[in-house]
Amino acid sequence: MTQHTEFNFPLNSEREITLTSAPGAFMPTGTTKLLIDAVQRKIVKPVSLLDLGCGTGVVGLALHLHGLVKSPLYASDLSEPGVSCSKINLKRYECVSEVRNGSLFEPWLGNKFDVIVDDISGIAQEVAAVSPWFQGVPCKSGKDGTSLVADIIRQAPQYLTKQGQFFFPLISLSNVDILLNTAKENFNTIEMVARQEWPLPDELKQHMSLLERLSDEGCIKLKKKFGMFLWYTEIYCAYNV
Amino acid sequence: MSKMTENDVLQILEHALEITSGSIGPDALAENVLNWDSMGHLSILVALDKMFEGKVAEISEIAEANSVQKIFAALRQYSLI
Repeated sequence: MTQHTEFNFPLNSEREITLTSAPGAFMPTGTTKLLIDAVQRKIVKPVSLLDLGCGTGVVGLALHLHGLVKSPLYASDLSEPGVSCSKINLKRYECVSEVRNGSLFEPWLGNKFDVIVDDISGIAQEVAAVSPWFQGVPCKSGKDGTSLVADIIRQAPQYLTKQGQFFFPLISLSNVDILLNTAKENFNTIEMVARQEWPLPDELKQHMSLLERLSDEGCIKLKKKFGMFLWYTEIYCAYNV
Repeated sequence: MSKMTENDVLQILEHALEITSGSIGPDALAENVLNWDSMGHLSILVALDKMFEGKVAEISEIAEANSVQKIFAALRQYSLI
């Protein structure tokens, strides 16, 4: 039987939402919060929205609660526990939704959306294996962390309406240069809409030789500042107009 | 830029941690201060670096400065306060 747990997520400085999670469902991270805040700043009216890689459903739900989603909210995830938790969480907050199980855009063949928010962020596979973020959650993103995200970026344009916008995070624990070039090949315009530097979590500090090797090989980017190693997330909005 | 005081630094810390003004004293330890976790610490360092025009980024000791006194000491060592 699936063991559900509950956790709180800050919607804004005044309100938290309670979400259900389960083993195998991706838990929201700092990148998730950064992504929600960035999308919220960019969208000005309710849109048809796909939460791709929805995990517990937090991104779509937060945007719904901010009044930015035209009903129904569309969401999908490869993880069955993720899909199950999303359904529970969206129902709890009375968000009319269509949640599907499947890989990347597979569940949405032939559909188009005004906004796609992708919270599938790849990091170098060896880093994912020792990081605190992917416990029990698959991260088959290749040596430099680009394979999943590059596929998503390549496919995204065909799932967007004419004025559609695609939001995605790039994480410097992957080869961000390759991913940015892929985005430039597939979209006319790419705007960075948020950026955040982070300290390495303790779990990764224990694997500095691995990180330094991957950094030397160009698979990841680390920056030394304040006497510590930092990595970063950048959120991009891409569109073809 | 006129030299900053310890009180100015305390205000920067409070602002970076998004906590009430006057809630951090000179003897405060990170573990006892709301929001002063690893992310909070980075927010402090980014705010100090901005205030001291990029000079804090080069202070390697400040990464481990887990109290107000240790932050003061690191800034004093580089004659920033």
